[in-house]
Amino acid sequence: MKEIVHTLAAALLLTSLGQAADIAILNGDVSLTITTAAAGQQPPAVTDETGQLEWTTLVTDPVKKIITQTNLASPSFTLTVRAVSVSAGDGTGAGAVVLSTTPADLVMDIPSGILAMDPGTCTLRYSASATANGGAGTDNHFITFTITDQ
Amino acid sequence: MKAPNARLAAMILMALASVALAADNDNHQVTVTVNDINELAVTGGDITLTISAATAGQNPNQATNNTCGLEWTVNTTNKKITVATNQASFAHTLLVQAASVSGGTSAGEVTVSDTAQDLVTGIATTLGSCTLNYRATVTAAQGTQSVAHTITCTITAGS
Repeated sequence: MKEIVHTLAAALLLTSLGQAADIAILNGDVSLTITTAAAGQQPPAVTDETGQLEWTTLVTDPVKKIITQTNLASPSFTLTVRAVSVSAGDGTGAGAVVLSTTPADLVMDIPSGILAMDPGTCTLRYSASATANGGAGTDNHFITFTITDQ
Repeated sequence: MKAPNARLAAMILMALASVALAADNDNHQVTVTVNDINELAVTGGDITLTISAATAGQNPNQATNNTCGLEWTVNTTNKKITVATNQASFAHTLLVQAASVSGGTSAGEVTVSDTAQDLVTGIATTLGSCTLNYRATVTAAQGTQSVAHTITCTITAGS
């Protein structure tokens, strides 16, 4: 029995030390479509909350943060993202980010020792908005999330 | 016998503990689509124009109303607003002009008929509004009457 306990403890320790600080997107790609407006008014924004992030950190890591950016240099429409429902103790949402090619903070103050068995999580709230003089069309964004030292 | 079971347990645990997190970054595609939007609304509700007096020896006085208007949202180019009545024939003259136009150009006063005519032109990717100045006239020879017009204003492709 002792041999099993020691082996299991070693496995747990090796698991937490062997991984780097990691991040993953769940639930795949997202589509937002603006279809109408009240006459005389700008089209209303549309939102999506189907995307989620998961992250882990090493026990030896400094405080981390998650940054985000798009690959689209000049989008026709405004796209924002906000980390909501951040799991307790695993970081703090930085507020809504207007996506650009410049990385911006999304989740701050991520502590060390977030294990894979209980990763940090948040929901990604995307919001797309357009104006009448922005015309119609499609923006195809490639959104990247990176966990890095704060 | 115990040692192989312990090692097996450790391997299983490590496999279960590992997740798909394998990098310090991840990405996905987010597509934003904005459809063509051409929305028009009448403001001010229904109106009544009543011709009730005349100067002796002259045709009756005209009746006017400017309590109605239009509002529009257009995110496409080369659009105009046309106006038409559902009445094929009537024994008076009804005229309308778009006034105080924003987000377009008034086409001037229009004699309303059942053929669509330009009311506001030059509309493109804009919010807009105008006041509708109605004017009804009648001659003594046209007698008395009461006609209910359904006036339809339509956003359509510009010429």
